[in-house]
Amino acid sequence: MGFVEITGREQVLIRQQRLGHFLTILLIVLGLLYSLNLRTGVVSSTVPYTDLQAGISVNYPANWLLDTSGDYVFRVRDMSRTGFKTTLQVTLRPVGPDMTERNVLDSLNITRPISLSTYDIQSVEQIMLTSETPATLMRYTYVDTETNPFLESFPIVVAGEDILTLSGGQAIIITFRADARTFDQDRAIFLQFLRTLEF
Amino acid sequence: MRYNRPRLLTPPREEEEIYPYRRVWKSIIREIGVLTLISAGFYAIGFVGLSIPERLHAPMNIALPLVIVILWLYFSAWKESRVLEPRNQLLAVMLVSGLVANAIGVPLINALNPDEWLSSAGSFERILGYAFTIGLIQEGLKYGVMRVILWQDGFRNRWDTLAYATASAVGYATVSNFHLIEAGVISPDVLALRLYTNVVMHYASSVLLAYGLSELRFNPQVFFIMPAAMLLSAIVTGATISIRATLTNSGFVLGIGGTRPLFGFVFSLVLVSVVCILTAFLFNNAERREREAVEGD
Repeated sequence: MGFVEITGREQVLIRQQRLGHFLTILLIVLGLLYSLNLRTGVVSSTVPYTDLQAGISVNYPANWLLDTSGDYVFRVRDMSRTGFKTTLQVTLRPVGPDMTERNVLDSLNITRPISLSTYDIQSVEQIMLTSETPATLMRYTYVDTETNPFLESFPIVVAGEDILTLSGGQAIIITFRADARTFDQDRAIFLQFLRTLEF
Repeated sequence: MRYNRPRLLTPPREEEEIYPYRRVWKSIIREIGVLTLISAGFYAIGFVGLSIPERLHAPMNIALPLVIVILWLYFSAWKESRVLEPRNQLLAVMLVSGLVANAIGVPLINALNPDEWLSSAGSFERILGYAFTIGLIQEGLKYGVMRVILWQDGFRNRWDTLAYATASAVGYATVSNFHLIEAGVISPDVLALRLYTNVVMHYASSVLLAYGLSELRFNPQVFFIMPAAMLLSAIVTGATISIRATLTNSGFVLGIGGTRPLFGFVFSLVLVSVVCILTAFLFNNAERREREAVEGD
């Protein structure tokens, strides 16, 4: 005695429809994972920079604007930001044999209020830059105003961090500045930058 | 006197078979057509230098996203109620798509914030980036809404998928348009073109999605067409956002540079026309194949 399965074709069709739905959902999940991967790749992609004269080598975020023409060794800014451009900067200052990190910071704190509006030091603390390199971390804020009055923009509160360490008769000042509202978010870029810095 | 019955010059009319459903392509063409004319009107206002009074900016900015809803309500929802076999869940799909866009789609896209990290990426990466973020989220949610509400017994024929997909597109596009105006009050002639691009992008990707759904529902042997249609509709979204931005924004120029809204407008119109024509061909081809298969049996 044999059975004739009259619903067989229908079941195959339903199975194929389920497979189609499953593949569609799989595509959505894989696509979103790919986009996250792409995002990580774009956000964390870096460009190497080496200055043999200053003895500095570092990787800075790709697509940031490099500038070496000021009174610093190196400065990069994220020009895609509206408002204040997040900035990473490395400056070298010669130091005498008796000078300490504190002296260099005091010197900075005397000159900065002239150029930075409402410059205010938030904290100074001792940190270890690497396991063998002690450094001083200074946090400060100031207000950045647009120099072009026709743009009629609001002033921006900028938060900054200076990491200062003495090495080979010179003070190395690593500066990070960002809009105070995005400071914590952008600090990850600074920490990544520090990890690649060699001097 | 003898009465002669008048002779008929033409043979008696045969009883015409009444098509019981609303013709979806006709509605789509009318909705996009009227929207194109309105947007072209706004472009002309900006082009000739007429300025809309500032006190009208805010009310017009709120009214503009509603234009597509009004057009859809008239050309699709109201016309639907006047046919023999109406698609009853059209309004529900439109509303649920809008709610899902507001609750999941927009917050998720804002969290991923592709505009921020794709602005510095290359052209190819930008298209893929937008496709796999904004494209997949938007089309995935529209697909989810239709899958949940309509899959069991909502699709009676291939054109139902098209009707419901456009309803979903209108719901989603309206909510994303309202989020667009949230950023601030801008001149209505500028806003109209941005909203137009967004709406036609949703229409273009939704008709592709509809084709995938119709194939999976009525011809499931080729089950891979649905994921392929999803991928294609996401890429259409990604390409639209990326290419339109490139065309509209002026490059580096010596002197005063401005945006080129006409390029973006024409690109959007060409895109939706090409996608709709190609999809209509695919729909007709699938319908013909099915008819031939039935006749063959």
